[in-house]
Amino acid sequence: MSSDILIVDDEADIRELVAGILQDEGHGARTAKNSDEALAAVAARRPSLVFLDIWLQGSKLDGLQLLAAIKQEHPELPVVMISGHGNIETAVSAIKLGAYDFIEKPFKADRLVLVASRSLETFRLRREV
Amino acid sequence: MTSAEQVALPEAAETGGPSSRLASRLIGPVAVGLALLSAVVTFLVLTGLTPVVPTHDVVSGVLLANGAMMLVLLGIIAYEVFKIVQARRRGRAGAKLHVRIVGLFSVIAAVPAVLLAVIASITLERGLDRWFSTRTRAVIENSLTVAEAYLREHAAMIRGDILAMGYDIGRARPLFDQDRERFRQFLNAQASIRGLPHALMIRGDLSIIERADLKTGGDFVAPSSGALKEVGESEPQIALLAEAKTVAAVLKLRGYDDAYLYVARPVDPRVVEQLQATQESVAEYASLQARRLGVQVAFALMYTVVALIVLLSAVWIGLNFANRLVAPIRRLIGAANQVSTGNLQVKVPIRPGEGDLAQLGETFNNMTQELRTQRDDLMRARDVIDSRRRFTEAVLAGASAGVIGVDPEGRISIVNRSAEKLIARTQSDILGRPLAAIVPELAPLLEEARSGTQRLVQGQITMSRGGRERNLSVRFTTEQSAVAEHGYVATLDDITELVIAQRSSAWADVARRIAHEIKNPLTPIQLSAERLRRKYSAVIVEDPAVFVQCTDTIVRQVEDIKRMVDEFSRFARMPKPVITSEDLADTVRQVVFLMRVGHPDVDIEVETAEDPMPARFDRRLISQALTNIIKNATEAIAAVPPEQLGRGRIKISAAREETDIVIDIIDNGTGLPKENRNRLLEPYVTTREKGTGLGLAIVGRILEEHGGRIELDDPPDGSGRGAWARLRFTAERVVNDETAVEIRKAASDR
Repeated sequence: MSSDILIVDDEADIRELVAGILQDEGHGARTAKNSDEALAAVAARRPSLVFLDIWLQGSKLDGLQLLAAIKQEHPELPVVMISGHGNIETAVSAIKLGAYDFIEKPFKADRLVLVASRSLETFRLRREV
Repeated sequence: MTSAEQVALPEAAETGGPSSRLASRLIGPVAVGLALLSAVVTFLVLTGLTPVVPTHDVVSGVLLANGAMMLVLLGIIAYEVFKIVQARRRGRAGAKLHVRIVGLFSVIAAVPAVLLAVIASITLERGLDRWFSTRTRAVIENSLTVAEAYLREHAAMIRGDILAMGYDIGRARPLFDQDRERFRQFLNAQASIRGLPHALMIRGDLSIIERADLKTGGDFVAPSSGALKEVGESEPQIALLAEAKTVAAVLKLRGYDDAYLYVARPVDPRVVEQLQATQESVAEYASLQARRLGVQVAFALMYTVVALIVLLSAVWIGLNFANRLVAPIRRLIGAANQVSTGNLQVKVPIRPGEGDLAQLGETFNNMTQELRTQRDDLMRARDVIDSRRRFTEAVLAGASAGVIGVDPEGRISIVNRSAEKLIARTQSDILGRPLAAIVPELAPLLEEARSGTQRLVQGQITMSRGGRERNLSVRFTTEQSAVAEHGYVATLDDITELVIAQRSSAWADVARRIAHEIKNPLTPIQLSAERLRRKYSAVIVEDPAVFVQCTDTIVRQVEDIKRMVDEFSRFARMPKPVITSEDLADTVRQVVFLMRVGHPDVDIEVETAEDPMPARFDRRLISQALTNIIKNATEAIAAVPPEQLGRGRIKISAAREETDIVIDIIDNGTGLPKENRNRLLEPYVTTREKGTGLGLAIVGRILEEHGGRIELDDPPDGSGRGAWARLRFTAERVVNDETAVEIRKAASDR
């Protein structure tokens, strides 16, 4: 299966770990550390799922702005927000902006894998329909 | 005459109408004037300087008049003295002085006069009087003796002559009978020989028989017929005839029938006059001598009366002078007495004629006025101080800070209400007792304040009174005083709440940071561990169990850390309460329901004073607070060793106290520690191994947000074990019927 998941997070450790875990599960994974890289990556090849950190340090756009930008170009693209501690409210507002789901830090690998596979499945089904 | 002799006079009313007073004022001078006039008149009369002859009647009349004047004066003086004595009896001001001055004046007036009189009379009596009276008597008596001797000589001569002539005539009887002419010649011869100008022969009936006519000049004075009868033949009768200035003698002639010889010879008329005058003088002198005592007594009486009048006048003048002298002094004394009793409104009337005393009165008036001004100033100052004191007391009483005044010896001198509350003692208990004994916590600061030179010493102390521990901010201020010995004022501010709030706020900040900083690395740690396990657990052949256990431990620990951080963030991000009208009874019930489900082994009793119990609060927050407290209680019960526990029991009761809602949660768990009990409300203070120490802190904050607090204590029944948590918050009672109905409806729907 040729799933292509883009992980956008300013923290390298988390970025790589999430990518690694997903790759362990057989997903294709790319990473971006800021909005520019993320938008470039999306532009280069449309991913099948985006994990987007809400708080992006050292990025031109923050998570919500980036979400809006991505949604503008690819409304169909599922985006799962990674919310930091203490900003669940932001995550909720991200849902309103079109995000598919959110996971709250610190999250467990199981949940990450679950959310990823579920959202991929949902969007695959939606496309088929 | 001193006043002391007249002290004992009967008491009588001094009062009289103004007219009588005027009369009594006039009567004195008039009487004195009259008395002195009468004395002068008496003197003039007695010294013969007036046409009035000082006969006996005149003298006695004058004496009587003087006596009367004297009595009048005596009466007036007695009246004056009586007044003085009465004043003295009444204790009138200056009476003693008056008496003394009057006495002095009387003595000064009387003693010299009396002395002078005595000396004068003695001098006259002993000196001049005696001298003159003896000489005068001698002269008078001598001249009388001389005159009488002269006359006696004449009488002796005429006696001899008449005897000789009688003898001769007797022998010449025959001649008388025979020859009358010759007898007449013989008689003439006899008369001329013997130098007798008159020689007569008379019969018993004074008819002249024969007479010698030597000298016809001169009167013939016939002797009295009675005298003739006693005349003998041998002894003639001799008489001095003063009018005729002659010496006459009669003799019975012998040899004749009823015939007498009468001869007369003129004497020197001056001698006769002299004799007459001398005799009169002697007679007058004798009569004077005989009346001497009477005259002396009269004069003495006169003198005494006049002297007494003068003396009494002097006494009266002295009295009057004393009155005038004493009157201002008396006024002054009276005023001074008034002043001494506190009446400073007194003014002494000033009469310019009184000289120095008037000045004294003026000075006195100035003095009283000055006193009055000063006293008024003092009163005003006292009023100001009083109002300031009242103000200070009101400020002290109303001050939320506790204020304790300490005297230089370190004893408590003043305590306000807040301080009483803080140190849990009443003012009457501790006033005057050493501060260090009552509040030992303050002793070090007091010592510092007393030993140090700085004006302000401050510090913070922790003090436990009545089961409550408080943090106090203490300032010792030195009283501002110039005196070296001065007191101190301790100001106690209860900063317990502030300290708690500060700690809470600090910890909220810390919690936020920790949540952020800790949660970040947690994600990679956990993800790493999980990835290791997922990817390599199947690959590892040697001791795979250890690998799994290690990765699991990491994940579990991270989970714990995460839970803790979650609580931190919950505490740190405590939302502001949203106060709405709610039913407290239902809120409690719901919380208790959940807790009963979670802890079936604990009996949880609920008791609410009202049901429903409408109030305004944030339901979610109060539920959380209740949950936390009940959770703590269940944990405390769980911590009790099972063999001691018996049956876990939690009793919850909700009631109103005035405007407050009070929820008591009493359990029979392990109870609260004795020390640092109030610190349990601080974040991260916990008595449990696994506690975050945020449960009670969150409760505290929730109640704070509701304008209330949490109180922790031992159970009220004194059963020894367990804890008593009291949640108290201000919740306005809902009086709006609509809301109450809604609440009731909501409650019944449920």
